[in-house]
Amino acid sequence: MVAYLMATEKIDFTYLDGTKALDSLSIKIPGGKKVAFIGNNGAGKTTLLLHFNGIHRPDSGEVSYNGQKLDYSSKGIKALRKKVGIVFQDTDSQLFSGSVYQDISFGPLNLGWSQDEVRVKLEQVMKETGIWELREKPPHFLSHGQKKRVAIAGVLAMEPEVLILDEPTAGLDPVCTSQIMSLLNTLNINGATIIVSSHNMDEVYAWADYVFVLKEGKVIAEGSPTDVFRRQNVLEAANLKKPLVLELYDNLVSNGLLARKEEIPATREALIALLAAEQPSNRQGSKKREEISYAAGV
Amino acid sequence: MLYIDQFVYKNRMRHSHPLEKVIFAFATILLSVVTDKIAVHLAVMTVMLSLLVFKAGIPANVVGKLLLGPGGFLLAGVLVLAVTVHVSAAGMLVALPLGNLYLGVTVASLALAASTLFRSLSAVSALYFLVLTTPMADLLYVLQWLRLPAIIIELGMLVYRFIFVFLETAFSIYAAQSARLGFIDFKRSINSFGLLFANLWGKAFFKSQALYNSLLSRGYGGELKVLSPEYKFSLTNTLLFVLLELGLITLAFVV
Repeated sequence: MVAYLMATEKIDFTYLDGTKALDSLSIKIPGGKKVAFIGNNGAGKTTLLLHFNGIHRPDSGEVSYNGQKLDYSSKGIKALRKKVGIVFQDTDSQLFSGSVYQDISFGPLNLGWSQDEVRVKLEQVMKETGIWELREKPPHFLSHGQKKRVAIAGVLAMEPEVLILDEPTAGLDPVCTSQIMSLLNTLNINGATIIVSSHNMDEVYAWADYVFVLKEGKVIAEGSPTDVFRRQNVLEAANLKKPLVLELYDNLVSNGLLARKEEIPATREALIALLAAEQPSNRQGSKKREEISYAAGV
Repeated sequence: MLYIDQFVYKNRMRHSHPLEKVIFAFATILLSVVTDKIAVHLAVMTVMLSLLVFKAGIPANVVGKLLLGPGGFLLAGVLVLAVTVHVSAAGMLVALPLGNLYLGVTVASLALAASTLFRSLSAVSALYFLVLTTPMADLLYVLQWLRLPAIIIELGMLVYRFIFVFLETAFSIYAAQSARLGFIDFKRSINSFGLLFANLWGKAFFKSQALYNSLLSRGYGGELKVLSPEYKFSLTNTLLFVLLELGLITLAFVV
Protein backbone atom coordinates (compact mmCIF):
# COMPACT_ATOMS: atom_id res chain seq x y z
CA MET A 1 0.00 0.00 0.00
CA VAL A 2 1.32 3.43 -0.89
CA ALA A 3 1.47 5.85 2.00
CA TYR A 4 -0.19 9.14 1.15
CA LEU A 5 0.73 12.30 2.99
CA MET A 6 -2.40 14.26 2.21
CA ALA A 7 -5.75 13.16 0.94
CA THR A 8 -9.25 14.47 0.44
CA GLU A 9 -12.28 12.21 0.29
CA LYS A 10 -15.27 13.54 -1.65
CA ILE A 11 -15.05 17.08 -0.36
CA ASP A 12 -17.59 19.73 -1.30
CA PHE A 13 -17.16 23.40 -0.68
CA THR A 14 -19.52 26.24 -1.51
CA TYR A 15 -18.73 29.91 -0.84
CA LEU A 16 -21.22 32.11 1.00
CA ASP A 17 -22.27 33.74 -2.27
CA GLY A 18 -23.34 30.33 -3.60
CA THR A 19 -20.34 29.63 -5.83
CA LYS A 20 -19.67 25.91 -5.74
CA ALA A 21 -15.87 25.75 -5.67
CA LEU A 22 -15.21 22.06 -4.99
CA ASP A 23 -17.46 19.26 -6.13
CA SER A 24 -17.00 15.87 -4.48
CA LEU A 25 -13.27 16.08 -4.95
CA SER A 26 -11.01 13.17 -3.97
CA ILE A 27 -7.25 13.20 -4.31
CA LYS A 28 -4.26 11.49 -2.78
CA ILE A 29 -0.91 13.25 -2.57
CA PRO A 30 2.18 11.14 -1.97
CA GLY A 31 4.79 12.56 0.42
CA GLY A 32 8.20 13.91 -0.62
CA LYS A 33 7.05 14.80 -4.13
CA LYS A 34 6.81 17.95 -6.20
CA VAL A 35 3.11 18.24 -6.95
CA ALA A 36 1.38 20.73 -9.24
CA PHE A 37 -2.27 21.71 -9.57
CA ILE A 38 -3.25 23.14 -12.92
CA GLY A 39 -6.51 24.38 -14.31
CA ASN A 40 -8.31 27.53 -15.39
CA ASN A 41 -8.96 30.52 -13.20
CA GLY A 42 -11.87 29.54 -11.01
CA ALA A 43 -11.22 25.80 -11.28
CA GLY A 44 -10.93 25.59 -7.49
CA LYS A 45 -7.15 25.43 -7.06
CA THR A 46 -6.83 28.09 -4.36
CA THR A 47 -9.93 26.86 -2.53
CA LEU A 48 -8.50 23.35 -2.43
CA LEU A 49 -5.11 24.55 -1.21
CA LEU A 50 -6.81 26.40 1.66
CA HIS A 51 -8.36 23.10 2.77
CA PHE A 52 -4.94 21.57 3.28
CA ASN A 53 -4.12 23.62 6.35
CA GLY A 54 -7.59 24.05 7.70
CA ILE A 55 -8.35 27.62 6.61
CA HIS A 56 -11.39 26.24 4.80
CA ARG A 57 -13.37 23.34 6.16
CA PRO A 58 -15.27 21.19 3.67
CA ASP A 59 -19.09 21.29 3.75
CA SER A 60 -18.99 17.53 3.44
CA GLY A 61 -16.30 14.91 2.94
CA GLU A 62 -12.98 14.58 4.69
CA VAL A 63 -9.46 15.94 4.53
CA SER A 64 -6.67 13.90 6.05
CA TYR A 65 -3.01 14.41 6.78
CA ASN A 66 -0.65 11.47 7.27
CA GLY A 67 -3.58 9.09 7.35
CA GLN A 68 -5.34 11.03 10.11
CA LYS A 69 -8.54 13.00 9.67
CA LEU A 70 -7.96 16.70 10.28
CA ASP A 71 -8.67 17.73 13.84
CA TYR A 72 -10.35 21.15 13.69
CA SER A 73 -9.94 21.92 17.39
CA SER A 74 -7.66 24.91 18.01
CA LYS A 75 -4.90 22.61 19.23
CA GLY A 76 -5.22 20.33 16.21
CA ILE A 77 -5.26 23.28 13.82
CA LYS A 78 -2.16 24.74 15.41
CA ALA A 79 -0.29 21.46 15.02
CA LEU A 80 -1.46 21.15 11.40
CA ARG A 81 -0.42 24.67 10.44
CA LYS A 82 3.06 24.07 11.77
CA LYS A 83 3.40 21.11 9.40
CA VAL A 84 1.63 22.61 6.39
CA GLY A 85 2.68 26.12 5.35
CA ILE A 86 1.00 28.20 2.66
CA VAL A 87 2.57 30.99 0.63
CA PHE A 88 -0.24 33.11 -0.79
CA GLN A 89 -0.38 34.53 -4.27
CA ASP A 90 -0.74 38.18 -3.25
CA THR A 91 2.32 39.02 -1.16
CA ASP A 92 0.82 42.36 -0.14
CA SER A 93 -1.86 40.49 1.77
CA GLN A 94 0.71 38.30 3.44
CA LEU A 95 3.36 40.78 4.59
CA PHE A 96 1.92 42.86 7.40
CA SER A 97 4.84 44.18 9.37
CA GLY A 98 7.08 47.24 9.15
CA SER A 99 10.26 45.30 8.48
CA VAL A 100 11.25 42.08 6.75
CA TYR A 101 12.90 40.71 9.90
CA GLN A 102 9.81 41.29 12.03
CA ASP A 103 7.54 39.79 9.42
CA ILE A 104 9.48 36.54 9.19
CA SER A 105 9.69 36.28 13.00
CA PHE A 106 5.88 36.15 13.25
CA GLY A 107 5.36 32.45 12.43
CA PRO A 108 8.13 30.99 14.64
CA LEU A 109 7.04 33.20 17.57
CA ASN A 110 3.51 31.82 17.21
CA LEU A 111 5.00 28.35 17.61
CA GLY A 112 6.21 29.44 21.03
CA TRP A 113 9.93 29.26 20.31
CA SER A 114 12.35 31.25 22.46
CA GLN A 115 13.77 34.52 21.12
CA ASP A 116 17.22 33.00 20.71
CA GLU A 117 15.90 30.03 18.76
CA VAL A 118 13.89 32.37 16.54
CA ARG A 119 16.90 34.60 15.84
CA VAL A 120 19.06 31.64 14.83
CA LYS A 121 16.31 30.30 12.56
CA LEU A 122 15.67 33.71 11.01
CA GLU A 123 19.30 34.19 10.04
CA GLN A 124 19.49 30.71 8.54
CA VAL A 125 16.28 30.96 6.54
CA MET A 126 16.96 34.51 5.33
CA LYS A 127 20.39 33.52 4.07
CA GLU A 128 18.92 30.43 2.41
CA THR A 129 16.39 32.55 0.52
CA GLY A 130 18.91 35.30 -0.21
CA ILE A 131 17.16 38.12 1.65
CA TRP A 132 19.50 38.66 4.62
CA GLU A 133 20.52 42.06 3.23
CA LEU A 134 16.87 43.17 3.14
CA ARG A 135 16.16 42.38 6.79
CA GLU A 136 15.67 45.95 7.98
CA LYS A 137 13.64 47.17 5.01
CA PRO A 138 9.87 47.68 5.06
CA PRO A 139 7.95 45.57 2.51
CA HIS A 140 6.93 48.56 0.39
CA PHE A 141 10.57 49.13 -0.60
CA LEU A 142 10.91 45.66 -2.07
CA SER A 143 10.39 44.45 -5.64
CA HIS A 144 7.76 41.82 -6.36
CA GLY A 145 10.40 39.09 -6.56
CA GLN A 146 11.93 40.14 -3.24
CA LYS A 147 8.51 40.24 -1.55
CA LYS A 148 7.87 36.74 -2.82
CA ARG A 149 11.07 35.46 -1.26
CA VAL A 150 10.22 37.19 2.02
CA ALA A 151 6.79 35.56 1.99
CA ILE A 152 8.37 32.15 1.37
CA ALA A 153 10.95 32.72 4.12
CA GLY A 154 8.15 33.64 6.55
CA VAL A 155 6.62 30.21 6.02
CA LEU A 156 9.92 28.28 5.82
CA ALA A 157 10.94 29.71 9.20
CA MET A 158 8.24 27.50 10.73
CA GLU A 159 9.97 24.38 9.33
CA PRO A 160 6.91 22.92 7.59
CA GLU A 161 6.84 19.37 6.22
CA VAL A 162 4.66 20.50 3.35
CA LEU A 163 5.08 23.81 1.57
CA ILE A 164 2.12 24.97 -0.49
CA LEU A 165 2.54 27.87 -2.91
CA ASP A 166 -0.38 29.44 -4.74
CA GLU A 167 0.92 30.56 -8.14
CA PRO A 168 4.41 31.28 -6.84
CA THR A 169 5.79 32.63 -10.10
CA ALA A 170 2.82 34.70 -11.34
CA GLY A 171 4.10 38.10 -12.40
CA LEU A 172 7.77 37.31 -11.83
CA ASP A 173 10.53 37.83 -14.40
CA PRO A 174 12.35 34.76 -15.79
CA VAL A 175 15.36 35.16 -13.49
CA CYS A 176 13.22 35.41 -10.34
CA THR A 177 11.11 32.52 -11.57
CA SER A 178 14.07 30.19 -11.98
CA GLN A 179 15.48 31.31 -8.60
CA ILE A 180 12.20 30.44 -6.90
CA MET A 181 11.87 27.12 -8.72
CA SER A 182 15.42 26.06 -7.87
CA LEU A 183 14.83 27.06 -4.24
CA LEU A 184 11.78 24.79 -4.26
CA ASN A 185 13.89 21.99 -5.74
CA THR A 186 16.46 22.35 -2.97
CA LEU A 187 13.75 22.25 -0.32
CA ASN A 188 12.30 19.15 -1.92
CA ILE A 189 15.68 17.42 -1.98
CA ASN A 190 15.97 18.22 1.73
CA GLY A 191 12.76 16.30 2.32
CA ALA A 192 9.86 18.73 2.04
CA THR A 193 6.76 17.97 0.00
CA ILE A 194 6.10 20.90 -2.32
CA ILE A 195 2.67 21.68 -3.74
CA VAL A 196 2.17 24.50 -6.23
CA SER A 197 -0.66 25.79 -8.35
CA SER A 198 0.32 27.29 -11.67
CA HIS A 199 -0.80 28.54 -15.07
CA ASN A 200 2.58 28.05 -16.64
CA MET A 201 2.49 24.68 -18.36
CA ASP A 202 6.15 24.74 -19.43
CA GLU A 203 7.17 25.36 -15.84
CA VAL A 204 4.93 22.63 -14.44
CA TYR A 205 6.08 20.15 -17.06
CA ALA A 206 9.75 20.80 -16.33
CA TRP A 207 9.40 20.86 -12.57
CA ALA A 208 6.64 18.62 -11.22
CA ASP A 209 6.70 14.91 -10.36
CA TYR A 210 2.94 14.62 -10.29
CA VAL A 211 0.17 16.74 -11.78
CA PHE A 212 -3.51 17.18 -10.98
CA VAL A 213 -5.80 18.84 -13.52
CA LEU A 214 -8.78 20.62 -12.00
CA LYS A 215 -11.91 21.77 -13.75
CA GLU A 216 -15.00 23.23 -12.11
CA GLY A 217 -14.08 21.85 -8.71
CA LYS A 218 -13.31 18.35 -9.92
CA VAL A 219 -10.13 16.46 -10.75
CA ILE A 220 -10.34 15.48 -14.42
CA ALA A 221 -6.88 13.95 -14.73
CA GLU A 222 -3.80 13.13 -12.72
CA GLY A 223 -0.45 11.46 -13.24
CA SER A 224 3.09 12.17 -14.32
CA PRO A 225 3.48 15.37 -16.41
CA THR A 226 4.39 13.47 -19.60
CA ASP A 227 1.37 11.25 -19.17
CA VAL A 228 -1.12 14.04 -18.41
CA PHE A 229 0.14 16.48 -21.02
CA ARG A 230 -0.12 13.87 -23.76
CA ARG A 231 -3.84 13.41 -23.22
CA GLN A 232 -5.29 15.74 -25.80
CA ASN A 233 -8.86 15.36 -24.56
CA VAL A 234 -7.84 16.43 -21.04
CA LEU A 235 -5.95 19.45 -22.32
CA GLU A 236 -8.92 20.49 -24.43
CA ALA A 237 -11.42 19.97 -21.64
CA ALA A 238 -9.35 22.04 -19.23
CA ASN A 239 -8.39 24.66 -21.83
CA LEU A 240 -4.69 24.04 -21.34
CA LYS A 241 -1.80 24.07 -23.79
CA LYS A 242 0.65 21.25 -24.24
CA PRO A 243 4.13 22.26 -22.98
CA LEU A 244 6.36 23.41 -25.82
CA VAL A 245 9.23 21.01 -25.11
CA LEU A 246 6.95 17.98 -25.07
CA GLU A 247 5.05 19.15 -28.14
CA LEU A 248 8.29 19.62 -30.09
CA TYR A 249 9.74 16.32 -28.95
CA ASP A 250 6.62 14.37 -29.85
CA ASN A 251 6.46 16.02 -33.26
CA LEU A 252 10.13 15.41 -33.97
CA VAL A 253 9.70 11.77 -33.05
CA SER A 254 6.51 11.24 -35.03
CA ASN A 255 8.09 12.89 -38.09
CA GLY A 256 11.09 10.60 -37.83
CA LEU A 257 13.52 13.45 -37.16
CA LEU A 258 14.44 12.14 -33.74
CA ALA A 259 14.71 8.62 -32.37
CA ARG A 260 12.30 7.80 -29.53
CA LYS A 261 14.16 7.96 -26.22
CA GLU A 262 13.78 6.11 -22.94
CA GLU A 263 13.88 9.38 -21.07
CA ILE A 264 11.70 12.17 -22.40
CA PRO A 265 13.36 15.61 -22.17
CA ALA A 266 11.81 17.75 -19.41
CA THR A 267 13.51 21.06 -20.09
CA ARG A 268 14.46 22.96 -23.20
CA GLU A 269 18.13 22.43 -22.30
CA ALA A 270 17.56 18.67 -22.28
CA LEU A 271 15.82 18.83 -25.66
CA ILE A 272 18.61 20.93 -27.16
CA ALA A 273 21.20 18.48 -25.82
CA LEU A 274 19.23 15.65 -27.35
CA LEU A 275 19.15 17.39 -30.73
CA ALA A 276 22.86 18.17 -30.55
CA ALA A 277 23.62 14.50 -29.85
CA GLU A 278 21.47 13.53 -32.83
CA GLN A 279 23.17 16.04 -35.14
CA PRO A 280 26.23 14.48 -36.86
CA SER A 281 24.41 12.49 -39.56
CA ASN A 282 21.70 15.10 -40.05
CA ARG A 283 24.20 17.92 -40.29
CA GLN A 284 25.98 16.21 -43.15
CA GLY A 285 22.67 15.72 -44.83
CA SER A 286 21.74 19.35 -44.52
CA LYS A 287 25.15 20.41 -45.78
CA LYS A 288 24.71 18.32 -48.86
CA ARG A 289 21.31 19.83 -49.42
CA GLU A 290 22.86 23.29 -49.14
CA GLU A 291 25.46 22.41 -51.74
CA ILE A 292 22.79 21.15 -54.05
CA SER A 293 20.76 24.31 -53.67
CA TYR A 294 23.85 26.42 -54.35
CA ALA A 295 24.61 24.38 -57.42
CA ALA A 296 21.07 24.86 -58.61
CA GLY A 297 21.55 28.60 -58.16
CA VAL A 298 18.76 28.92 -55.65
CA MET B 1 5.08 61.97 -4.13
CA LEU B 2 7.54 62.58 -1.35
CA TYR B 3 8.15 59.29 0.39
CA ILE B 4 9.71 60.47 3.66
CA ASP B 5 10.43 56.82 4.41
CA GLN B 6 13.13 56.63 1.76
CA PHE B 7 15.17 59.25 3.55
CA VAL B 8 14.53 57.62 6.90
CA TYR B 9 15.92 54.32 5.68
CA LYS B 10 18.99 55.92 4.13
CA ASN B 11 19.84 58.31 6.96
CA ARG B 12 23.19 57.83 8.66
CA MET B 13 21.75 57.80 12.20
CA ARG B 14 19.26 55.01 11.69
CA HIS B 15 21.47 52.40 13.30
CA SER B 16 21.84 54.20 16.61
CA HIS B 17 19.63 52.75 19.32
CA PRO B 18 16.02 53.99 19.03
CA LEU B 19 15.83 54.60 22.79
CA GLU B 20 18.74 57.07 22.63
CA LYS B 21 16.97 59.08 19.97
CA VAL B 22 13.54 58.94 21.60
CA ILE B 23 14.83 60.12 24.99
CA PHE B 24 16.90 62.90 23.44
CA ALA B 25 14.02 64.10 21.26
CA PHE B 26 11.39 64.07 23.99
CA ALA B 27 13.66 65.71 26.58
CA THR B 28 14.26 68.50 24.07
CA ILE B 29 10.57 68.86 23.24
CA LEU B 30 9.81 69.15 26.96
CA LEU B 31 12.51 71.79 27.34
CA SER B 32 11.15 73.77 24.39
CA VAL B 33 7.68 73.79 25.89
CA VAL B 34 8.84 74.71 29.40
CA THR B 35 11.19 77.56 28.61
CA ASP B 36 10.15 81.03 27.42
CA LYS B 37 13.54 82.05 26.10
CA ILE B 38 13.54 82.50 22.36
CA ALA B 39 17.32 82.04 22.40
CA VAL B 40 16.79 78.48 23.65
CA HIS B 41 14.20 77.83 20.97
CA LEU B 42 16.60 79.06 18.31
CA ALA B 43 19.37 76.91 19.80
CA VAL B 44 17.14 73.83 19.76
CA MET B 45 16.25 74.43 16.11
CA THR B 46 19.91 74.93 15.20
CA VAL B 47 20.97 71.75 17.01
CA MET B 48 18.18 69.56 15.63
CA LEU B 49 18.31 70.78 12.05
CA SER B 50 22.09 70.55 11.89
CA LEU B 51 21.99 67.03 13.31
CA LEU B 52 19.48 66.14 10.60
CA VAL B 53 21.41 67.70 7.74
CA PHE B 54 25.04 67.12 8.75
CA LYS B 55 24.99 64.02 10.93
CA ALA B 56 22.03 62.09 9.52
CA GLY B 57 22.70 63.30 5.98
CA ILE B 58 19.13 64.23 5.09
CA PRO B 59 19.14 66.81 2.26
CA ALA B 60 18.51 70.34 3.55
CA ASN B 61 15.82 70.98 0.94
CA VAL B 62 13.86 67.94 2.11
CA VAL B 63 13.97 69.12 5.72
CA GLY B 64 13.01 72.61 4.55
CA LYS B 65 10.05 71.31 2.54
CA LEU B 66 8.84 69.27 5.50
CA LEU B 67 9.04 72.31 7.80
CA LEU B 68 6.90 74.31 5.39
CA GLY B 69 3.85 72.21 6.30
CA PRO B 70 3.60 72.92 10.02
CA GLY B 71 5.30 76.30 9.39
CA GLY B 72 2.36 77.46 7.27
CA PHE B 73 -0.18 76.38 9.85
CA LEU B 74 1.82 78.06 12.61
CA LEU B 75 2.07 81.37 10.78
CA ALA B 76 -1.68 81.46 10.22
CA GLY B 77 -2.31 80.67 13.87
CA VAL B 78 0.26 83.11 15.17
CA LEU B 79 -1.16 85.92 13.05
CA VAL B 80 -4.37 85.70 15.05
CA LEU B 81 -2.38 85.91 18.28
CA ALA B 82 -0.43 88.96 17.09
CA VAL B 83 -3.52 90.98 16.24
CA THR B 84 -5.69 92.27 19.05
CA VAL B 85 -8.96 94.20 19.12
CA HIS B 86 -9.50 96.97 21.66
CA VAL B 87 -11.72 100.03 22.29
CA SER B 88 -8.75 102.41 22.28
CA ALA B 89 -5.68 102.55 20.14
CA ALA B 90 -3.49 103.31 23.15
CA GLY B 91 -0.42 101.09 23.32
CA MET B 92 -0.90 99.75 19.80
CA LEU B 93 2.08 99.93 17.50
CA VAL B 94 -0.12 99.95 14.44
CA ALA B 95 -3.87 100.46 14.62
CA LEU B 96 -6.70 100.16 12.15
CA PRO B 97 -10.01 101.84 13.18
CA LEU B 98 -13.02 99.57 12.75
CA GLY B 99 -16.10 101.52 13.76
CA ASN B 100 -15.77 102.02 17.51
CA LEU B 101 -12.99 99.46 17.82
CA TYR B 102 -9.35 99.34 16.88
CA LEU B 103 -7.61 96.42 15.24
CA GLY B 104 -3.87 96.45 15.90
CA VAL B 105 -0.74 94.90 17.30
CA THR B 106 0.76 95.62 20.70
CA VAL B 107 4.21 94.86 22.08
CA ALA B 108 2.70 92.18 24.33
CA SER B 109 0.75 90.49 21.54
CA LEU B 110 3.78 90.51 19.27
CA ALA B 111 5.90 88.95 22.01
CA LEU B 112 3.27 86.28 22.63
CA ALA B 113 3.06 85.52 18.92
CA ALA B 114 6.82 85.31 18.53
CA SER B 115 7.30 83.10 21.57
CA THR B 116 4.51 80.75 20.42
CA LEU B 117 5.97 80.59 16.94
CA PHE B 118 9.49 79.77 18.06
CA ARG B 119 8.40 77.43 20.81
CA SER B 120 6.35 75.41 18.33
CA LEU B 121 9.00 75.43 15.64
CA SER B 122 11.65 74.21 18.05
CA ALA B 123 9.39 71.40 19.30
CA VAL B 124 8.55 70.48 15.70
CA SER B 125 12.22 70.37 14.74
CA ALA B 126 12.97 68.05 17.67
CA LEU B 127 10.10 65.81 16.60
CA TYR B 128 11.37 65.81 13.02
CA PHE B 129 14.77 64.78 14.26
CA LEU B 130 13.17 61.69 15.77
CA VAL B 131 10.84 60.92 12.88
CA LEU B 132 13.45 61.35 10.16
CA THR B 133 16.17 59.30 11.84
CA THR B 134 14.07 56.45 13.26
CA PRO B 135 12.06 54.01 11.11
CA MET B 136 8.55 53.13 12.22
CA ALA B 137 9.57 49.58 13.17
CA ASP B 138 12.12 51.01 15.63
CA LEU B 139 9.60 53.44 17.12
CA LEU B 140 7.19 50.57 17.70
CA TYR B 141 10.00 48.74 19.47
CA VAL B 142 10.27 51.66 21.90
CA LEU B 143 6.51 51.58 22.51
CA GLN B 144 6.84 47.87 23.24
CA TRP B 145 9.73 48.58 25.58
CA LEU B 146 7.53 51.11 27.37
CA ARG B 147 5.00 48.27 27.92
CA LEU B 148 2.22 49.97 25.98
CA PRO B 149 -0.84 47.75 25.39
CA ALA B 150 -0.26 45.30 22.54
CA ILE B 151 -3.38 46.49 20.71
CA ILE B 152 -1.90 49.98 20.21
CA ILE B 153 1.38 48.62 18.90
CA GLU B 154 -0.35 46.14 16.58
CA LEU B 155 -2.60 48.87 15.25
CA GLY B 156 0.41 51.08 14.65
CA MET B 157 2.17 48.31 12.78
CA LEU B 158 -0.82 47.45 10.58
CA VAL B 159 -1.70 51.08 9.88
CA TYR B 160 1.88 51.84 8.87
CA ARG B 161 2.14 48.86 6.55
CA PHE B 162 -1.28 49.25 4.94
CA ILE B 163 -1.03 52.99 4.35
CA PHE B 164 1.43 52.06 1.63
CA VAL B 165 -0.67 49.21 0.23
CA PHE B 166 -3.69 51.54 0.27
CA LEU B 167 -1.79 54.35 -1.47
CA GLU B 168 -0.40 52.03 -4.12
CA THR B 169 -3.87 50.64 -4.81
CA ALA B 170 -5.35 54.13 -4.95
CA PHE B 171 -2.65 55.32 -7.35
CA SER B 172 -3.08 52.36 -9.64
CA ILE B 173 -6.84 52.94 -9.82
CA TYR B 174 -6.21 56.65 -10.41
CA ALA B 175 -3.73 55.87 -13.19
CA ALA B 176 -6.16 53.46 -14.85
CA GLN B 177 -8.90 56.08 -14.66
CA SER B 178 -6.80 58.93 -16.03
CA ALA B 179 -5.57 56.73 -18.86
CA ARG B 180 -9.19 56.53 -19.97
CA LEU B 181 -9.72 60.30 -19.47
CA GLY B 182 -11.51 59.87 -16.15
CA PHE B 183 -10.31 63.29 -14.97
CA ILE B 184 -10.83 65.24 -18.19
CA ASP B 185 -13.12 67.84 -16.63
CA PHE B 186 -14.57 68.72 -13.25
CA LYS B 187 -17.74 66.68 -13.63
CA ARG B 188 -15.93 63.57 -14.77
CA SER B 189 -13.38 64.05 -12.00
CA ILE B 190 -16.06 64.06 -9.32
CA ASN B 191 -17.58 60.94 -10.82
CA SER B 192 -14.26 59.12 -11.17
CA PHE B 193 -13.21 60.05 -7.67
CA GLY B 194 -16.41 58.54 -6.31
CA LEU B 195 -15.77 55.33 -8.23
CA LEU B 196 -12.18 55.27 -7.02
CA PHE B 197 -13.30 55.55 -3.43
CA ALA B 198 -15.98 52.87 -3.72
CA ASN B 199 -13.51 50.55 -5.40
CA LEU B 200 -10.90 51.17 -2.74
CA TRP B 201 -13.35 50.21 -0.02
CA GLY B 202 -14.20 46.98 -1.75
CA LYS B 203 -10.56 46.14 -2.22
CA ALA B 204 -9.75 46.98 1.38
CA PHE B 205 -12.33 44.49 2.64
CA PHE B 206 -11.14 41.83 0.23
CA LYS B 207 -7.51 42.38 1.22
CA SER B 208 -8.29 42.28 4.91
CA GLN B 209 -9.87 38.86 4.47
CA ALA B 210 -6.83 37.65 2.52
CA LEU B 211 -4.52 39.02 5.20
CA TYR B 212 -6.51 37.27 7.91
CA ASN B 213 -6.24 33.95 6.04
CA SER B 214 -2.51 34.33 5.59
CA LEU B 215 -2.02 35.26 9.26
CA LEU B 216 -4.08 32.23 10.28
CA SER B 217 -1.92 29.91 8.24
CA ARG B 218 1.14 31.23 10.03
CA GLY B 219 -0.42 30.35 13.38
CA TYR B 220 -2.10 33.68 14.29
CA GLY B 221 -3.70 33.33 17.69
CA GLY B 222 -5.03 36.83 18.35
CA GLU B 223 -1.69 38.52 18.92
CA LEU B 224 0.76 39.88 16.35
CA LYS B 225 4.01 38.93 18.04
CA VAL B 226 7.13 40.00 16.16
CA LEU B 227 10.80 40.21 16.97
CA SER B 228 12.97 43.25 16.20
CA PRO B 229 16.61 43.02 15.22
CA GLU B 230 18.89 43.57 18.21
CA TYR B 231 19.84 47.23 18.69
CA LYS B 232 23.20 48.36 20.02
CA PHE B 233 23.81 51.33 22.31
CA SER B 234 26.55 53.62 21.10
CA LEU B 235 28.64 55.41 23.71
CA THR B 236 29.64 58.26 21.40
CA ASN B 237 26.03 58.94 20.39
CA THR B 238 24.81 58.85 23.97
CA LEU B 239 27.62 61.20 25.03
CA LEU B 240 26.80 63.58 22.18
CA PHE B 241 23.11 63.62 23.07
CA VAL B 242 23.80 64.14 26.79
CA LEU B 243 26.24 66.99 26.12
CA LEU B 244 23.85 68.74 23.72
CA GLU B 245 20.95 68.36 26.14
CA LEU B 246 23.03 69.68 29.06
CA GLY B 247 24.06 72.65 26.93
CA LEU B 248 20.45 73.46 26.08
CA ILE B 249 19.34 73.09 29.71
CA THR B 250 22.13 75.40 30.84
CA LEU B 251 21.06 77.95 28.26
CA ALA B 252 17.45 77.69 29.45
CA PHE B 253 17.89 77.84 33.21
CA VAL B 254 21.36 79.07 34.13
CA VAL B 255 22.46 81.73 31.67
